[in-house]
Amino acid sequence: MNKRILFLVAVALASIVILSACATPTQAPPAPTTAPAAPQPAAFNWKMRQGEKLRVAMVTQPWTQFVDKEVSKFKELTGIDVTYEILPEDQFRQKTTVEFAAGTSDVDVFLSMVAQEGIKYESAGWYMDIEKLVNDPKITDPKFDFKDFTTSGLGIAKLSNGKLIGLPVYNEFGALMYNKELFDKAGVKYPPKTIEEIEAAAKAIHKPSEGVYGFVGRGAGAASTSQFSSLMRSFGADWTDASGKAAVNSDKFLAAVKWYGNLHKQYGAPGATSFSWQQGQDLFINGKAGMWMDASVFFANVVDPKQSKIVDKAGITMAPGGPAGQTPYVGGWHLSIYEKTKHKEAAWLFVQWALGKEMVLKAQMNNITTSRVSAWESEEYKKANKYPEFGATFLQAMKVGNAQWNPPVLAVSEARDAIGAVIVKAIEGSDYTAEAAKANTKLQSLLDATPKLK
Amino acid sequence: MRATALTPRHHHSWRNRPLLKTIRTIAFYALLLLLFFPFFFVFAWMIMGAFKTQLQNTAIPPLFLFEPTLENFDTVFRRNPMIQFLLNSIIVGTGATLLALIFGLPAAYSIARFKQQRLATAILIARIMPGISYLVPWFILFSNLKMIGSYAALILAHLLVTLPMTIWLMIGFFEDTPQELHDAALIDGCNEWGVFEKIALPLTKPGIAASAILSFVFSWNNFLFSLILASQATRPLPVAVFSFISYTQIDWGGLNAAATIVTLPVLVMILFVQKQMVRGLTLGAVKG
Amino acid sequence: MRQAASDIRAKPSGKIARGKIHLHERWSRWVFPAPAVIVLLALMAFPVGYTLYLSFTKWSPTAVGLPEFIWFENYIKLITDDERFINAVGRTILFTIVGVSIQCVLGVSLALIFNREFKGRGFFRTIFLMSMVATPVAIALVWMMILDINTGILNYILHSLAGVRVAWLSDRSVVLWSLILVDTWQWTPFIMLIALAGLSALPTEPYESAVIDGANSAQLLWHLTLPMLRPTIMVALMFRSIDALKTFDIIYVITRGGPAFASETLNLYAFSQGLFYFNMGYASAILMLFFLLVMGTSLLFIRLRRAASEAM
Repeated sequence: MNKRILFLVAVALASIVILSACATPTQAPPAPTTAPAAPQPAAFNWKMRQGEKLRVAMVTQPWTQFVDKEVSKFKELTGIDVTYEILPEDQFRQKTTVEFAAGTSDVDVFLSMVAQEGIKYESAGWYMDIEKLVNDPKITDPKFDFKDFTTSGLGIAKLSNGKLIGLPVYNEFGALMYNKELFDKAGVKYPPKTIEEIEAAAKAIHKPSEGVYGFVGRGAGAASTSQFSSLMRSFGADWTDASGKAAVNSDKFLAAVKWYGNLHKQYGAPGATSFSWQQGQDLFINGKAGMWMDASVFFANVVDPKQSKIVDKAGITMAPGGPAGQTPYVGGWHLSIYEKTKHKEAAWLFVQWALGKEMVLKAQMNNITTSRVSAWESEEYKKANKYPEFGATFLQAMKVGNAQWNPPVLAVSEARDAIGAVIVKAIEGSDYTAEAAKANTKLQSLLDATPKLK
Repeated sequence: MRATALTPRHHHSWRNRPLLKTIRTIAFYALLLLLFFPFFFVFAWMIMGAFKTQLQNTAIPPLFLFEPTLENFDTVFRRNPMIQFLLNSIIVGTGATLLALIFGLPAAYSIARFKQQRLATAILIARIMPGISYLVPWFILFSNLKMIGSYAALILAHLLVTLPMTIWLMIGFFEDTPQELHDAALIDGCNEWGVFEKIALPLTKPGIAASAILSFVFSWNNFLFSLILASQATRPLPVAVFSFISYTQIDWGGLNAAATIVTLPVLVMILFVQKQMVRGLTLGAVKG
Repeated sequence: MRQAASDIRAKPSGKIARGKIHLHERWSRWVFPAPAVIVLLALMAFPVGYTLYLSFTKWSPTAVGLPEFIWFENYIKLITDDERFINAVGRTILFTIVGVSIQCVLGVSLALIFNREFKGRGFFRTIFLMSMVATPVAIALVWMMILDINTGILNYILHSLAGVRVAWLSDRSVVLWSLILVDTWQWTPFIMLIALAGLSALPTEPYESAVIDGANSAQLLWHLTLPMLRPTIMVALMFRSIDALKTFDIIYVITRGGPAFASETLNLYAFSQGLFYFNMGYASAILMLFFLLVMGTSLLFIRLRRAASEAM
């Protein structure tokens, strides 16, 4: 009997081997680079890893599309071949996590969001320490100018253990975008800066019979918690209390939830509990909403004539201040290097190239809110920028913002789902305090299960 | 003889009155159109969306009349290696279909011939197991075999969908072949394989065609396995649709255009082979 | 009638050769299905075994070290202390029973309509077929647009005609019905096709004698057609129920289980636990229980079909 099973297994394995023999390799063959040698700085040898291959995993987003267009220049410059994988956010996370977890991943460079998966990836040992690379003169271009990155931009990319796990490709802040035309029509002054001003403006603008709503924002459970975190801090609440215990049913937190829920109920658009950024944006760029609270990164869409009807009427400010001041969240995506990469130097070259001064300025000119001071202050950008108030707001937000837009747990998605349910109930007008109690218990158990980072 | 010919309404007296008959016909088609409309509309809306700009797609109220643009298709092909994705879908679909036939046909024949009902039920288990439970183990297995992202891994994964289906479909077709021919062939000295090859297979050609088409369609439509097991180079079409949902933008026009490109080949295919497909889908159930 | 009904159930005889047992037959019955069985086993054994093993452990792929064996802890927690799980079970069953019932009534009705000759029959049937073979992910995205509360075409129509807007995807008490709507759209044709094939295989004699006995059309339908069709419908229901219980693509794309878990079925919950939260052990336990549910449903239908066949 055993022999028979062994035989079956052997046949099965044999068939798998035969099949895999006809499998094509994952990576495309390197394209012969016949381009003339690019002008190189004499001091730094970009070609030091010529002939190597890199695999880069990225999320579908504007910066990725920007790099996509430029990447051939990296091949010319370094002789390193790059294959990459671009997937939407959720699918991207699933794929990379499964890959890393299987321990056989050949990803070298990947995009990451510290507040989302930082603790998880760091405790699994998947991030390479970027500062060590920066401080290695043998592999770092002297012109890279690490100090040029904004302090807060680098701060966002740091974990609680102080390790820098990536460099920011762009940063964003919790913003409030508003429609100047609707404000003028309703006779309200802008920009609205506090929760009282927002409520008053929303009330004046809200005309559901005409399909115009005072305020739109996220309400779809987990998707809403990131934007809500700005409000939470305006009310003086946080995910945890001073001793690190879960605090999402504290009085202040509940006050923020109540305010947000009421605002939606009274002056919001129908269906807010299914709203992520996309539904709010649809209404806002069609001129159907007075205010839209969401990430600043979407401002690029709002002022894009191909997508928006309110290009000339849009304004942007930080998420509103409340009793405890004005502290929008700040965040962004980072370019990280996989700890187990077999091409450490080549990977670092890619990061240096993609986030070097020249490329970052180019990205900035492509409406990407980068994290280099030199890009923000360049004459080129200042001349081209049609929204000077945006630049000022951005730099201000980066100064005062809080990078903890997610609860400090390993299981961030689980925590967001639980807290998101509280927001859904508040918008619906059902019993959100009971839900908050449940969420708090859940969050505490997730905090307990979160490892301390070394 | 079909039962259709004898449905009771044929015996009604008013059937002969022309006016009533006309009204009846009109009412019948009206009802049919009403039922038909939602099935048709979703496709129509998808195709319309594919020719709209982003502004037109998010317009409130929705637009029925608009100036069509081809830009979305341009975007789809520019942003994605669609030809590659298309090719991937074809390679994986063909592979999974061929293997399903090679392994499935003899099995189905045997189940039909020797009445192995228990085996048929056991094979159903493959269909019962939730697909998600395969994902992580397969990923681990395939990556240890250095097969991750290869066509082979995808084909094997899809085989799990296509093989049980092929077997179940073909059981009915093999049961349909006249037993007398088998017996005669056996008496003539054919062995079982001979009977299978020379009698059963030629007689069930339409069934094989139907199974092949359905296998291909189901492999084509598979999303979950492809998402986790494919790499950028082997990614099939359904995953490509998702590339129009980005972190900061849903490109509805591009998405509709991609959705149209993904569904169109299947839709066109069934135009040509719908008879076989209908038979394939139903015979197994009727015979069971 | 008894006679007629058993006629359609009759299997190809095969009994003629019974007396003469060929030597081949003995090994053929093993050799023919062997490759398929081996392939299926090879593809399934490791995943199923691994899932079963993981379901007894606490393991996240991001954790360093091996899975920690905790026996039945995951299962106990699921059954006694996990509201989301219990709700997901209820929802999955509701989604399946309601969805498949509607599809069954609609599908059989459509089959009765299509079971007659009329102009354009082939054309209409093709359109109906299309929804079934269209790529679910693509179709789900299109439905997501259609069902959008503010920009969707469905609400636009409803608003123009009746002055109401339905929160298809954002109202917790509505969202599951919206998904049932999409599922029904996609899968009613499947039941229609099978019922249609069943109808065309029905014998004509019982109708002839019933008409002579003076039965009207409603009586014929109720007392003859539907009972004779029942075994066929049972098969259709079995396949449809298995797939409805396992519905993933459309829910994943349209609602991701939201808002506030209101459309989270077992498959979605397992996916969340496994591939969003990466609680692999826990997710595996959900999957094992889920497997038992689908398995139980299939066995139920196999039994029901047998009963339906024997009752005739």
